[in-house]
Amino acid sequence: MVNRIAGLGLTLYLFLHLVMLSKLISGEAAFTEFIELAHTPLIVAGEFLVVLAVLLHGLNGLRIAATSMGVGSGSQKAFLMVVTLIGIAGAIVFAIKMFGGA
Amino acid sequence: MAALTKPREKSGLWFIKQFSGVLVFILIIVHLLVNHFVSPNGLLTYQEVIAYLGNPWIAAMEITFLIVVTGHAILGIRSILLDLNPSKRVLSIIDPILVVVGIIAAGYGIWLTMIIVGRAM
Repeated sequence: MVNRIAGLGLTLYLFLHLVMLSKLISGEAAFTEFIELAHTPLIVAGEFLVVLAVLLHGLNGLRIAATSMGVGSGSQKAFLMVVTLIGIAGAIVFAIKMFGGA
Repeated sequence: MAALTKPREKSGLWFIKQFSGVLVFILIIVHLLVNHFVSPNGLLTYQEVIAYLGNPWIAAMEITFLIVVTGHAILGIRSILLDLNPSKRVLSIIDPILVVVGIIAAGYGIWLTMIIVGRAM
């Protein structure tokens, strides 16, 4: 269920992303204005949610694809644990970069 | 594999969804790393985007990403709609709508990309 909600959210974001990227063809000033907006805390938080959704949906999808092909199907708990740890590590790295200003 | 396939989702489409998902995950990680880690300001500036897409290999990768992610998203939506057990008649309406939405979205994105590529030349 969570995987599907994340997938639907990412689909909505894909279409919004395409609409917002139309600022690129409006020229440098319009795109710079958009990028300044994208640096505001609320939008950064939203972008971070997108990163979390990508990690959740992507890693869980890889796990499902692998186990349905017979890879790791004998140790699904361990597989889930590994995928979760990779997701948490990825989320921390992106959080430091996006909120830490590094 | 057949047991995991939903009643009306053909195994070919199920496989494409899985395969495209793996490809999307690889390409989206590259996309996110470029946009959040390469640029010193966190997000690419206008000039950085022009320079980035000016590389034909990068432009080809981004267009591939756009096509694959749109296809994966459309197949995912169809998969969720199939869970609602639509009739064959409803499905015959839903399918072309999804195809048209996917073509418009991918086409629009490719058009945007090609305009930016043109500005880099």
